[in-house]
Amino acid sequence: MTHMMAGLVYLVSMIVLSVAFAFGYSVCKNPFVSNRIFLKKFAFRTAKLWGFLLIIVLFVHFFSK
Amino acid sequence: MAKRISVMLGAWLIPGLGFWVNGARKQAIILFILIELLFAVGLCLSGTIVIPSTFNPMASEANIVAILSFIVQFFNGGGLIISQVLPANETASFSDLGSFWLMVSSGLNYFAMLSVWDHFYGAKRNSQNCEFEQEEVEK
Repeated sequence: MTHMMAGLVYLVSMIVLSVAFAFGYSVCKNPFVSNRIFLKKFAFRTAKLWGFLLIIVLFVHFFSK
Repeated sequence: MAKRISVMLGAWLIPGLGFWVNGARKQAIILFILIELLFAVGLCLSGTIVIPSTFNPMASEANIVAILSFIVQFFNGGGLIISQVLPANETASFSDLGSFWLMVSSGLNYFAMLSVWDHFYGAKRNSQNCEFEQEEVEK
């Protein structure tokens, strides 16, 4: 397996895990009183996690030598 | 109090059980499927839960990452037992990634357990904006 393929598996894993975690966390914290509120919170949490992952990736990219 | 503790132990062992017992069936099913799916993918990637040889971070053979990982992975009780029974292959290509999937599923169960305690037994029990769609629980 090439490094490119392994990197792709890790990237897809991180995306799937972040979406799954944000969804599960939203199910825990926000009851289905309103689908609109649930989706809004879910989207916001996913965006926060992706932002966090992006900061880590940029940090590793610029500071790992 | 004994019922609450037994419900929390059940929620630790089977993800979503705490919601199910308290009548939030939809959340229970969604969480069970989600957590067990993440756990199954982790197992397929040869992930495993390794119990650290020591929990003393000052010991010479201590691995702080392994200790912290185990603390998170501990919160999926059923998964912990299953992963100890199944044979582990830590030299597989994606073993680390698989363990990370297990860690996310366990972390999610931790939040599910906290949510059960908060919403049904703790501070948010009578909160207006935290009402779950509860179906009738048989008494």
